[in-house]
Amino acid sequence: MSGKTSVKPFTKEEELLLQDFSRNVSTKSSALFYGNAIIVSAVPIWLFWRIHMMDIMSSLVLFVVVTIISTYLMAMAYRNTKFNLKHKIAVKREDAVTRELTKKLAEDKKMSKKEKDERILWKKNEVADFEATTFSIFYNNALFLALVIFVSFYVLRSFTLAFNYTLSVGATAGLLALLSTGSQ
Amino acid sequence: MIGYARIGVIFSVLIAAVNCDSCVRPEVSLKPFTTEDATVVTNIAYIAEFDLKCESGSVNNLYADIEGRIGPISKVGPTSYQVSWVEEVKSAKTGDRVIRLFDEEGYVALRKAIRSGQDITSVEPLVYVVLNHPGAFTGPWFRSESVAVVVGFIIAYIAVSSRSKLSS
Amino acid sequence: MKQVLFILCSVLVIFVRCNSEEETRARLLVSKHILNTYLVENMDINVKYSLFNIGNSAAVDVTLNDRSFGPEAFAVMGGQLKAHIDRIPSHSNYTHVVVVRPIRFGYFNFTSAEVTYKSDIEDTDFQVAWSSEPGEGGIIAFRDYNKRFSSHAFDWAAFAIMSLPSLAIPVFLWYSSKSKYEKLVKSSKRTH
Repeated sequence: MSGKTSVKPFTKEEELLLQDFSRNVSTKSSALFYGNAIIVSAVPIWLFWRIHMMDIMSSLVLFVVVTIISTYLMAMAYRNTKFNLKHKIAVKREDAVTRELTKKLAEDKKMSKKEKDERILWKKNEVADFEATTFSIFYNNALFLALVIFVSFYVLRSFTLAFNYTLSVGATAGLLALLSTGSQ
Repeated sequence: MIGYARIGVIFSVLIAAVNCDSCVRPEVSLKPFTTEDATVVTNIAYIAEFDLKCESGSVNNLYADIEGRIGPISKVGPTSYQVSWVEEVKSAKTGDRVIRLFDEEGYVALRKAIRSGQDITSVEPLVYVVLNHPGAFTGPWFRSESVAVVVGFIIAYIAVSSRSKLSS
Repeated sequence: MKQVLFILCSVLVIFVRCNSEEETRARLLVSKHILNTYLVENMDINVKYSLFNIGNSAAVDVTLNDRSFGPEAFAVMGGQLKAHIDRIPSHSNYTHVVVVRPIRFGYFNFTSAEVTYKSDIEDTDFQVAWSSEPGEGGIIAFRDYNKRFSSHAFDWAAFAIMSLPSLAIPVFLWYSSKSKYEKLVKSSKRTH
């Protein structure tokens, strides 16, 4: 499975490219994370307003505060999950990306081998980044929504609505953020 | 047995002589009502309001036999009548409910049949009406939030299992 | 709500006339029941009248009349509020059912129905009996009832639509990329 590229020691360019594998994310993907996080954090308001019959006007401050906290925690969960998955995905996609690019760049005889390897590394990074990002968003959203519904309708059903809302949304987002810091 | 039958014949002849204007070829138009939405009621109401017209002759008082329960019927208009009863929602029967109607003459025959231990269904009614109860809505089969939780967990399961596949 | 139910269900049989020679005469006990768990605007209210003849002769020329469900507040869905029964034999009963729907919501006092009858076929004057009173009951506005007891199917559907993009879009993007590269690996493995 292991490609030839990973056997060689990293060149300077490769080191530079590998920085992309760090926890730091670009502004673009950060915006993507926060955008998704705010949407999924705000959706439970509908449940509490329409189905739990929580008064939307008198609880406006609570809704805003909990949504902001949950957005922050969810964005953190997305970021950590993405980081944990990216490397694994990169290893998995190595073969395929190498094949795809080797075939494509075969005709180009002007390009040096080093340049080709760089291109492959860059592409591999891009594919892994894309897959890790999209999967991380899906994974955390799915868990968040399922847990919020379950906790608010079954676990905290008998508690007051404000308490139910704060805990079901806040604690779920917190739990996901916490779980995402683990290596798995 | 022969004696009984003879008495019966004499009896019915006597009644026929008394009620010379008994109803001939009655025609019934039914206005039925049964409970459709049982979410706020404890009993299903069965109400048969009907108009009875005779080709000749007339009928004054009617009696009903509802699956063995015999009793008087109320008159709610010059030619209209009402038969009504309630049954608990849980045990209420659905489908056609046959209400056999008897005039005074038939009612006497019915009483006689009961006294002699005969099958009351053997007594021919003047006419019968069928009240259909298709069943009542007693609330949704499942709670929406249960469905939501199940769907939510299915999606979450897909997410978790895909992730473990990715990590392997 | 439970209290309302309790009041409605408790039966108070009232009868007016007491005759000394009752053994040989008919006497009717009349009850009026509301067979509901909730009273809701524009939803059925089952009203059951039971006429028991506890006397020893048949009650004749019986007229049941309930004037408490006026057309300004109730719509009659089934049955008639005025009924005439020619004869109720001794020690037997007669059941009359009417289904009404309240047009308005708010408190409503369910009062008794009037029954007139002759205790004996030879009587010329009528006896008057009043049914039991179901009492006061609160009729809930349909809107409030629906809020509390509806399945919220529409609201759940809206919730599903709202949360769908946040799940479907990322999973679609991830899955299409994943299957594209997995196919690439498989096809190249077959050729090698």
